[in-house]
Amino acid sequence: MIHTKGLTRRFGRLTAVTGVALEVPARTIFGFIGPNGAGKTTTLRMLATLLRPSSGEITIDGVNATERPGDVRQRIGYLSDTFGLYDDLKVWEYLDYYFGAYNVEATNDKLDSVLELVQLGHKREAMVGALSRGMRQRLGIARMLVYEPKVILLDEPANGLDPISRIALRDLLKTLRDRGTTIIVSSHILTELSDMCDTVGIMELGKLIVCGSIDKILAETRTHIHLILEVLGKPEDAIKVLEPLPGISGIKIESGKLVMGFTGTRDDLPAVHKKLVESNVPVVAFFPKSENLEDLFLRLSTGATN
Amino acid sequence: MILIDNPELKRLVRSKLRVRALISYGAAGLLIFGGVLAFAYFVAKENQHFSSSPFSLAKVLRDYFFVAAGIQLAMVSLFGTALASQNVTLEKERGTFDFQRLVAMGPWRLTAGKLFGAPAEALLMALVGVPFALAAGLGGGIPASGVFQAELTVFLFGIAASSFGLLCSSIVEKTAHATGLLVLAGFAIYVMMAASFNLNVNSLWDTANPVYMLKQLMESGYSLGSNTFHFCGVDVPIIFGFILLNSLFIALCTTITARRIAEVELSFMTPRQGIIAFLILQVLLIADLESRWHTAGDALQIYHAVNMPVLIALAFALTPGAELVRGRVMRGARDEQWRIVFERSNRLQDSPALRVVFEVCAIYVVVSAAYTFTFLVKIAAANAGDVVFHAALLTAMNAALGITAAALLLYIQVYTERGCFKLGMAFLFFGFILPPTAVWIANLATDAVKIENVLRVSPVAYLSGLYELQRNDSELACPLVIAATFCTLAALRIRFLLDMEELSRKRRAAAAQVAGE
Repeated sequence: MIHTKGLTRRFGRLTAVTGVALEVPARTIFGFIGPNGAGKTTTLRMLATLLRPSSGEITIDGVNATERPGDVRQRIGYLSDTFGLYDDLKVWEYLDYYFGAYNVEATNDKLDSVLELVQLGHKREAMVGALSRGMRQRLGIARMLVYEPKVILLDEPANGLDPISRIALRDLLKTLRDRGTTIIVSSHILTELSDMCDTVGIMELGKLIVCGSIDKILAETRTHIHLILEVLGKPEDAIKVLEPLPGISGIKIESGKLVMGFTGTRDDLPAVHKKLVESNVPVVAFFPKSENLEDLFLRLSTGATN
Repeated sequence: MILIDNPELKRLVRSKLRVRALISYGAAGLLIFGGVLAFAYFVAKENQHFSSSPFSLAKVLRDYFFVAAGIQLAMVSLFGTALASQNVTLEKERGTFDFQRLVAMGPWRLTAGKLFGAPAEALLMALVGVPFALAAGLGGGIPASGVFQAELTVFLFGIAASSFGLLCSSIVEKTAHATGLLVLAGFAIYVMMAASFNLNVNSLWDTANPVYMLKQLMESGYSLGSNTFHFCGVDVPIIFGFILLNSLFIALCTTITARRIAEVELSFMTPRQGIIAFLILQVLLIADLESRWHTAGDALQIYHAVNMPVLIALAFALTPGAELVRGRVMRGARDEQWRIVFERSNRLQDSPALRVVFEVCAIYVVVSAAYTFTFLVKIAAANAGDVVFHAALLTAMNAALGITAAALLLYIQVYTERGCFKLGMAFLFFGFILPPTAVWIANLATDAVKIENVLRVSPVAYLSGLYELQRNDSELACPLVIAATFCTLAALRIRFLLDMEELSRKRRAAAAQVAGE
C-alpha cells in the first residue's frame, strides 16, 4: 500500500531524512519509533504530501505522491502531533465541514455512526473548544472516518492522553485496521505500539535502521540471550560457577538476581542449568528474559539526534 | 449555488456569524448607517436657517447616498481586508492549515470559500447599508441603475481588497507579518490611487479606483455608462474598466493564494500563470498607453518603466523554496547541476525560475520591438534614431535585470541555504541605490559631476534619461547592467563547475579509500 524508495529531505545543511525505504502492506498497522529529531515527523509529512522530498519516491496505493499529490490526498488521512480543531464550531458542524470537503453526502445516520465509532455520540451538539484532550484526539480521527481513507498517518497520537483514552485510541485503530485501513503511527510510547503494530520501523538520525515485524527484528538483531538466575544464599557462589562457562558474559547482580548475557542458543541452556545444579548452586529460577519493543529500541538506538 | 455549497464558506459563516454575532454586527451596521442618516438630516435642517435655498429632502438623500456608499466601501475595503489578511495565518498558527491543504475540495474551492467567508462580518455590515443606500438613492432621484453601479463598485472592490488580504495572509507565516505587509502595501496602493485621482485624464488604470468611480458617478448624472475612457482606439464606459481591472486583480491574487495553500514550498505562480499574467499586462499596457499619452515617446518610456519592476517581480514570483532547489542541485549528476538553471521540469515546477524568466524576457523583447517600431512611425523628432537605439538598449537592460534577479535568487538559494526573498530584495535594493550613489559621491569629490557616469550604473537614471533625450539632443551613456548580467550568469556557471570538481574529487578519494581497505 505504501512504498518509498530513497526518500530524502534536506532543510538547508540539515538532512532530516536520508534514503528511507519503506514497504507497508495494506491492512496493517506500522509503528514508527525513534527519539525526538529522528525524522519521523518529516517522513510522515512527506507521506502526507505536506512536504516535498528533496529526492526519492513515494507511492501510495499505486499513485506517485510527488507527481500527483492531489490524488494521494484523497486516499490519506493525517493527524499531526500538534493538530488544531475549529473550536468555534459544534462537533457535528466540524464533521459536516469534512463531509462537504470530501464531497460525501452528510446524512444524520452517517454523522451519528462516525461519532459513535469514536464514542462522541453524546457530544454531538457540544462546541469543539469544550472537548477534553482525549475527545479532541478522537474527533480528529473521526474527521478522517468521514471519507474513509485507505491510509491513515498518525504522528504521536497518544501524546497527552490519559490511560483510558489511550486504550480507547488503540482499540479504535485496531478496529480501523480490521476494516481495511492501513495505518502508520509514530510514537515514543513503545508499549502502545507493541500492542497494536504488525510491523515497526526504527529511525535514528534520519535513517531507517531496521524495519519489519517485532518478532522478526528481534530474531534477526539478537546477538545474545539475556539470562536471569535467582539462587538461594550468596549469588557470588553462582558467579564462580558461571564465569568459566563458554558463552556467558556480563554477569551483574540486579535486585538480588543475576543477570547475564549468553551467546549460545536456547538449546544450549539446559547444559548451563545442569552445570549449576551439579555445582550445588541452589537454583530458584533460571530463565531467558523475553525482549520487548522497548528492549529492542534501546538495543538498536544510540539515542543520537539531529 | 456553487458558492453556497462551498464547505469553507459555510464553516466560516457558521463560526463567525452565530446568532449573537449576527445581532451585534447587524445592530452596529444599523447604528452607523441610521446614525449618519439622522445626522445628515438634522444638519441639513439646521442649515436651512442660514441658507437662502429651502430644505430639500431629496438633496439630503442624494448626499447621504454617496456617504453611505463611502461607509460601505470603508467597511469592505478596510475591515474586510484586515479580516481576510488574518485567515490563512490563523489557520497556520492554530494547527489547522495542514488539514486544509489535505482536503479533497482543492485549493481553488477553498480559496473561493475564504474569499467570501473571511470578510463575512464586514460584508454583513456593508449589506446592512444596502437598504439605506437604495432608499436614499431612489428617494434622492438617483436612478436604480446608478444605485446598482455604486453597490457593484463597493462590493467588487471589497472582494478585490479581500483577495489581496488573503494573498498577504497566504505568503507569510504569522498574522502580525501579514498585517504589516497589508499596511505597507495598502499605503503604496493609497498613494497610487491618490495620484490617479488627481489626474484629469480618464484612463483604464484610473477606473480601478472605487473612489474615482463614485466621484464620476456623482458628477456624471448618476450613470457610469455615459462616462468613458479611451482604450485601444475605442471609447469604453468606465464601469467596464473597473470590472475588468478588479476582476483581473482578484484572479491574480486568488491564483497565488490557491497555489500557496496547495504547495507552500513552490513558487507563487506556475510558469504558465506567470507568462499569461505578463501577456495580459502587456496588452492592457500598450492599449492604454496608445490612447492616453500625448507623445509616443512618453508612452514608450512609461511602457519600459512599468516593465522593469514587473520583470524583476516575476523572477521573485516564479522562484520556489530554497530547500527544493538545493534538493535538485545536490543530486550530484554533472548534467543536473547546470540543467536546473534552464529546467522547467514538471507541471508543479520545482525548478528555478531562470528558464521561465528567459521566456518572459523573450516575449518582452518581441513586444517592445513591435512597439518601438510604431514609435518610429509616429515620432517626428530629429533624434528619433537615437531614441529608438536607446529604447532598444532599455529593452535589453530590463530583460537583463529580470534575468539577473532570477540568477541572483538561484545563487542565494544554492549557496546560502536560506530563503532567498529577503536577501534577494536587499541585494536588489542596494544594487539599485549603491552604484549611482557611489559614482555621484566620487564625482563630487573630484568636483566634476558627470551625469553620464550615473546613467551608466543606474537603471532608473537611464530610464529617466530617455525622457530628456526626447527633448534635448543630448548624448546618453549606455547602461552597464547588461554586462553585469552576463557576469552573474558566468559566475553561477563557474561556481557550479568548481563544485562539481570538488564533488568528483571527494568521490574519487572515497573510492580510493574503499579500494585500499
